Amino acid sequence: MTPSPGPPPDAGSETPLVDEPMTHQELDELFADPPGLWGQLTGVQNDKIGARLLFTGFFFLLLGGSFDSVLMRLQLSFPQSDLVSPQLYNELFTNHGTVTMFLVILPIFEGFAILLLPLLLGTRELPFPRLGAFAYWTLLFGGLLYYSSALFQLVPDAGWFAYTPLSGPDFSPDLAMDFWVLGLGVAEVGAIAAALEIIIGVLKMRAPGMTLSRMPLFAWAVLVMAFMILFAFTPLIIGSLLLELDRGFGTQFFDPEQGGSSLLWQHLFWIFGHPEVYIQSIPAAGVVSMVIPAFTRRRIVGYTWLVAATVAIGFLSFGLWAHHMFTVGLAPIILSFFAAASMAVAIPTGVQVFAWLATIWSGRPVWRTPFFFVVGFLVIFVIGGITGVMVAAPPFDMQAHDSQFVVAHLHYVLIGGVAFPIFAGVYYWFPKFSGKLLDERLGRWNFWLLFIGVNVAFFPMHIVGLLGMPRRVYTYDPGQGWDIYNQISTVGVLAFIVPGIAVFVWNLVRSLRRGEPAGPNPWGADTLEWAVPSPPPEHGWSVLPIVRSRHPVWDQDDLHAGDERLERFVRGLAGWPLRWRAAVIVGTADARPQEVFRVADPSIWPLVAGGGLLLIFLGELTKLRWGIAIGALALLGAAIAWNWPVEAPMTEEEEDAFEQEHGVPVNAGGSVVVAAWGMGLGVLFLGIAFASLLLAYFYLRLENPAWPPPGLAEPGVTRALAAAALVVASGSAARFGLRRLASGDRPGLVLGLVGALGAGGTAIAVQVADLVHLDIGWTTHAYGSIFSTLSGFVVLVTGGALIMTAMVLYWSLRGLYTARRHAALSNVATFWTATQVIWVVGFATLYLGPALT
Amino acid sequence: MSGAGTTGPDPPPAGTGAATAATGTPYPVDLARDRRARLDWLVFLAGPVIWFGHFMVVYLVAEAGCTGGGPGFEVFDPPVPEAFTLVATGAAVVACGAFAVWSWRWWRTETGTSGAVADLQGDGGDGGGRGSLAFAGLLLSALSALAVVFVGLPAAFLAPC
Repeated sequence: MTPSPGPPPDAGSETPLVDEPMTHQELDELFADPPGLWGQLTGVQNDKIGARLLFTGFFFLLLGGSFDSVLMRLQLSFPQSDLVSPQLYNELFTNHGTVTMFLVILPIFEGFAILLLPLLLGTRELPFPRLGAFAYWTLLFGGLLYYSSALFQLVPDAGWFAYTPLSGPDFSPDLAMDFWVLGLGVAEVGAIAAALEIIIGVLKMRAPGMTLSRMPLFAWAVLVMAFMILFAFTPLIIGSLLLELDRGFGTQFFDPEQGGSSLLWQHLFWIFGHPEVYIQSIPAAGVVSMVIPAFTRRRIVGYTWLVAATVAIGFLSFGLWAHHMFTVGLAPIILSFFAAASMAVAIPTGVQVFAWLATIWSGRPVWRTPFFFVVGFLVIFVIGGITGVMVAAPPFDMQAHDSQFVVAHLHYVLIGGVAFPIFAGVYYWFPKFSGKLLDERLGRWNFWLLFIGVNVAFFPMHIVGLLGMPRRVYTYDPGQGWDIYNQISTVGVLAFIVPGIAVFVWNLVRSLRRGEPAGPNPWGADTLEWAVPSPPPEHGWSVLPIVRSRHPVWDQDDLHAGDERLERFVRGLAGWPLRWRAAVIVGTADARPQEVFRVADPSIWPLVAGGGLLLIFLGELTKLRWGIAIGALALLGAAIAWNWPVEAPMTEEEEDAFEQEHGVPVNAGGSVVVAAWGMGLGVLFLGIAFASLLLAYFYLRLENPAWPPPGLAEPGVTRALAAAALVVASGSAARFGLRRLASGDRPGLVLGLVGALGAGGTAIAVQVADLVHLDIGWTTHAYGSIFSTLSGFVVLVTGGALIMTAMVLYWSLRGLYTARRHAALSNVATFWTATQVIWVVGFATLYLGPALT
Repeated sequence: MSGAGTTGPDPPPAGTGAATAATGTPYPVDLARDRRARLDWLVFLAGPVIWFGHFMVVYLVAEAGCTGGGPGFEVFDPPVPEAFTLVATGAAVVACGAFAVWSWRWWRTETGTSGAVADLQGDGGDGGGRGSLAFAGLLLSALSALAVVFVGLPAAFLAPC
């Protein structure tokens, strides 16, 4: 079983190819989306979703990244220039930062992940194809909603981090910042949806034998990225909610006059904002770790070290957020906490860089375009990283803060550390999905123009920043020694970067039309995707691979050979079933097959759900609040229809027959494993949102010596106690019903669900009555604002639990669930447990918080 | 190297929730019931989780001591932030150290130190065993201990507020 660790073969010479059994064509058609426009609207296939995310990301890059930056550089090339007005300049830099941070890099990497993972991991699909489609539609709708501000000349202008009070109702009274908050809000939901898809895909859907420590480093990277999206975007969604409540409903979260705190926004924003940088650079590092072995003909040095470094960066990046706030007057000890963590993150980053360098050093480099971009990445990223350590020191940061030095630093990190690996990834994987190689000569022009351009454009900003030039000023006076540096920067953009991007676009167009044909493995690379044809079939794998190495294509002569029973299993699955889309779930750590399940078919409901979400945000934007209600109904209806149970395409006896033969359970009705994981991550999402609200409560409490404010009494606890007891009872009733079903007692199940509905509904009624009775008022003081918002969140979560319970009660009465098939019921029970915790902790904080302090 | 984790769909070890659909169990094996997988993850992630817990706790206590005003917040007044930070730092370092030792032993049992050398050289075998995760856990625990010290040490020298 142990493969020989000898040198890898030369490009393409010995690539073992996949088997294409008789059923290949049938499977291909089974996994394809319907043709025509309807297929475009209902499509869920991962290749389609991944490619769309990539193209949409590039589209927004050209729109927001290029156009804005060219105008800004033209404006700054001469002092006292009046090419653009101060207002337009504010809009340009706001748009440039916002679009690149929210609508470009993130969808590009989620697109790479969704496109590549099934091939890379040796599986046929990702766990929730419809969720992937929903992620795409919401990104598109959110991006378009944000961009539609330009049609109304209401372009957001408060900077990409939208600091309050500038972004609040007093200083941005028109709708421009609402476009920012609400448009991005839609896109943020999409980012989280795609993250759930990626996490469960990587952890549960891999080829048999691909243990965690055989997983390609790109998969590790997107796994960490997806978890970070979940943990970082959720606080941002809560922050955006509070900002919109201030703007649209008159709450006082960020108004210090009324007990609010403008620093609260900075905390909530940067808890997202700093990890966001790593959300972008970690998958970029994953691409680098894939490209380097292929082009140095050598196994990566320090695989385990790279895995550990990726995970460490993921964690440490959540302890850095306040280094963006060093100048706001934090206590010295707090400055030191964040400075220390900011410097500590250089350790795992250094480990990565040295592992890559050691691999190149000891390998035999093949200088093709992807490798050029990786080397360019190393040079530029290291410079950006070093200036990062400089600004991690508070004394230096206080000098450099808000200067062009910071602009230089972040562009070195994001262009060197992120954009170059994206180009490397496109050149590397384009042949796999198009069947054509990108032109090598144009690729080198592309690289050198960008490499020179980035350094010419951004290096002078270090100097002009240290000379004192601030960022975000639309012009400057002559005679300060800044002119020449600004002119060099402008030349870098116009003479090198713009032509570089143009060459890239031309290369794509030209190569798609008449590129050199690429075989399955044009680079002689080592990972699974290179064993399937280019372009790959819709289902990726007819016979699943059996992985016995970290470098299966280099080390295994036959990708389908392995343990005898496993071989029988993968060959059996190639011919059965052919009526529904079967995919395999494996053990998280050991990659042992655990379940064969049916992945979802194409559906229109993800599009409708995305449209409903858009309507909610659009209703708030236009202040047509009935639109919110229509959107919520559309979203709810679409979610119910999306998850409407379809009859399993196979009887339990047929499932058993396969299991008897191969030892792996079959669930033609849908996976119990991914359903449980999906609910688990959904609960985690709610938990993070709830924790963010608690943090907001805590922070506002700290800022207010009197809590509640003078004139308000502490809330009485009697009714709240009764309501909490009822919620605890309803969760218990739901779990009781589930237990009864396990012993075959259907009336017991119905009784439990009815009890849960009754007790939960009564709890909400009692609690709402108490809130009305307390009459705290959400607009007069931050105390009332957070009290109302946190209460509303808890009640909303409980309302969600009630809706789910009503749905499963309806299906229970129709006899849908059996002791064997009842994943939805288990999920509802899990959700009730989470609801109980959120309710008890939430209202305990609100009712006991004032008394305890 | 072709240890327990790499073979086919044999029934998993007893006590890991191996009952299949044929016997009427709604859950095939999954993480929630697979004790071995849970231990793998625990050893792998304990260090960074401790780091993050330590970071948030010392930050929130310092914020309560330096920013918080009014009745009830006197208990956080200086010198509580720096004293608490130092004590929490000591505890967190000990915890990271304990996990480092655990993962060290686990890793030695699984692969021996030769595995680490091979991994560094890029010839780390087939990666099928559980040793790699334990080794990554060792690296993460060690780094976390260092990062905890980084974060906590200034409390010994700086006035907190």
